[in-house]
Amino acid sequence: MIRLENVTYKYPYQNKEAVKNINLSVKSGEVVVCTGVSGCGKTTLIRLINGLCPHYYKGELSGNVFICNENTKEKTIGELSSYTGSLFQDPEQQFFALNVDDELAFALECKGLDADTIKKEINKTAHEFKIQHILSSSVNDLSEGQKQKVGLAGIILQKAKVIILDEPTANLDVESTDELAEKIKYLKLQGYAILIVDHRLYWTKDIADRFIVMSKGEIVKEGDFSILLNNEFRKIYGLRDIEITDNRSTLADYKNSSKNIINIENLSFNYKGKENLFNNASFTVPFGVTAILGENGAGKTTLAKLLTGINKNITGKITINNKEIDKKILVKTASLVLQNADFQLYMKSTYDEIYMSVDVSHNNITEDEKKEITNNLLNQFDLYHLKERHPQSLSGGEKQRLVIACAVAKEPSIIILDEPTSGLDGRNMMRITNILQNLANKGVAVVVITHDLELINNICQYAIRLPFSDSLKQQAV
Amino acid sequence: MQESFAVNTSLSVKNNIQLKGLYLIDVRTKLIITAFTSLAAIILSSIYSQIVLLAASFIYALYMRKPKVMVLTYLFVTIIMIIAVTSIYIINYFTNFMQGRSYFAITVPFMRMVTMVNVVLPLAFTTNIQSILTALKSFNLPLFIYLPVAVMIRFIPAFINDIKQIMQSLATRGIEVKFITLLKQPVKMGRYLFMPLLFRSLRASEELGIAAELKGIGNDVKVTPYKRLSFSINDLLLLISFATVLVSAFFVQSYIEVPESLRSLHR
Repeated sequence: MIRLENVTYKYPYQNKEAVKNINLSVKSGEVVVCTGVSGCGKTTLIRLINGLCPHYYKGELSGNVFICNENTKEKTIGELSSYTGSLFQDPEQQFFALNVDDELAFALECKGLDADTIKKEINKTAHEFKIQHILSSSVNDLSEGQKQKVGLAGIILQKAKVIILDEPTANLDVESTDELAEKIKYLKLQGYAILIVDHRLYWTKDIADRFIVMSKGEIVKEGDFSILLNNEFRKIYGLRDIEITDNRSTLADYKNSSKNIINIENLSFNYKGKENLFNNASFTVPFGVTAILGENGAGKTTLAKLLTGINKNITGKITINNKEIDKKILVKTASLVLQNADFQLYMKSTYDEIYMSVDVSHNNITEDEKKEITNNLLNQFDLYHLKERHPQSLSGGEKQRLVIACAVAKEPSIIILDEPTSGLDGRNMMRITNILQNLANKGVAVVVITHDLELINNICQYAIRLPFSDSLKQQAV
Repeated sequence: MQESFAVNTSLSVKNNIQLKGLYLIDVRTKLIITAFTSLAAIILSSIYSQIVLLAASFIYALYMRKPKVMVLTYLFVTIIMIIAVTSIYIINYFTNFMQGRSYFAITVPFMRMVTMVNVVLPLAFTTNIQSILTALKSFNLPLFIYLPVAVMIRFIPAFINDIKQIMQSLATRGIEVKFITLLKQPVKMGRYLFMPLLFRSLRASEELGIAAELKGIGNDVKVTPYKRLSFSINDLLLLISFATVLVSAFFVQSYIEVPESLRSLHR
């Protein structure tokens, strides 16, 4: 179904090839997992299969890519879309329509199906993916995990024979990841050829037939799961762990901690006209590293925004260091790192980005002292060699380190991070883990909203488990 | 965004949405209003005609029932106006090209812009994208015209969503976007707002183009819309209302004299 023969590809205006001498085949009913550090050529491989390279990105392609025995050079992207369905790393990239049901219907409409058939197909797939309750919602209102599910449901609806999944679990909770694995098993039995590109490997163990490891644009190893067993090999190629135990239930409950930084009393909150997400909730956040756990949509990001005063109109009381939160809380006391780093980078260089944060939060020091703090942070976060680079030109892992460095620049008492290791390879994940552990060791209370079991196992001590709202709990059940 | 889950769970209880207001209006009606009002805004030069168009389009936009979207859009337009007026002031200081005219003379171009924004917003926010595509196709427009138009319309909500996220991200750095800070530190605040917006916009436009192509938008098949809106009495009334507004605007241009000091520089 997928066949690449001696494929080498170079993007326009680039000196180096993005991928070199790739030979790969994926048969009907086969699942192949491709992994490797960020920038190793995985995304280009996907673009070659769905035709974006060279049809959209242009560039130089040598060798041949066959999808269902059709040479991609001789087909348009639109024609290739009837053979392949792609799910991108950032699910929002996927959505062309504004509502979930319109989005699911879109590709079917383009195929010329009639409205009744489309409706039936959507209902069937929505039931399979447990997204019936969000069919009428705006795509902008979905949680990241929900977006991922909608994207996948969309490509299943396209009924293409080849499915390409780019980091499908990056934003999924553990339970949803298990569901996805089951779904892929089912699709495999249906005869789909499936190529998964992912950093997280543990969930693919029982579903993948083959693994390929890429580095610097080339396939360096190919084989069954056993090729990943060697710890040294994984370390060299920056891969994530392959066996991960779920330790979430063993984390101490937040109520059991003795030394707290945040106290929440009788917190109630709902979005305008909607039911309560928090209903008279009282709890504490301790020093150390705390994980906020819960299914997609349980209100984890909302809680982070409530704790930092971004979401207002609450009833109840939130105190940090025994001081009630106010508008100034994010200037110095608390830091919040949101999920999408692109929205959090404003300046023309990495140095200026950190300096800006230092400048906003340190009023009583000299310019030289601010510069010194900035340089120290650049070193601490291994960004010094990138200090002249434009922040938007950095890789995903580098951007993540930079936004955390900006958050740390305030020298906050508490730092809250929303999915800080989502979509990161093993090497970058460990870097972030070490940074957060160092902060906790220095006495900063670290709170992470995460589905990443590796991060939880490596550093988390306590857990806040959502949802608090009884009705949401029942819906989750 | 996680916070919106509550929205969805409550929807699940109701299991459907009751379409109201402009959501019920046929996309073809909205497209006709957008095209003809924009055209009239470009053609007419009288400030009084522009006031008629602006007032009517503002009421039309209000029926969208999205006050936050309107506030954000107007904020954005205001920033552009401030930048433009400042630039004109500086140029005029050195060249005196205004020749003693009131600064009211430059209001017409801005009024044109606001009128166009007012008629485009309801189209973008109260219509599903497939209806727009189908309507554009029904006008027998070629792919190279209707695809960019559809992407542009789809891009507006994404753009406004991006602005909201950027403002939240700025809040995490302890920076609040207020009108007064925009006036006090226009360069700095402009950078904070526009830099991420620029890069996000570039990416979003590319992403949307790719998404459309990968879903087979260019395939040569007869597209049947999943949701149909029929042309109703409300559509007719709305079209008659706008026709009256447009005729009135042309009437005002023809019969009401505008003082020299208020005449547009860009006739």
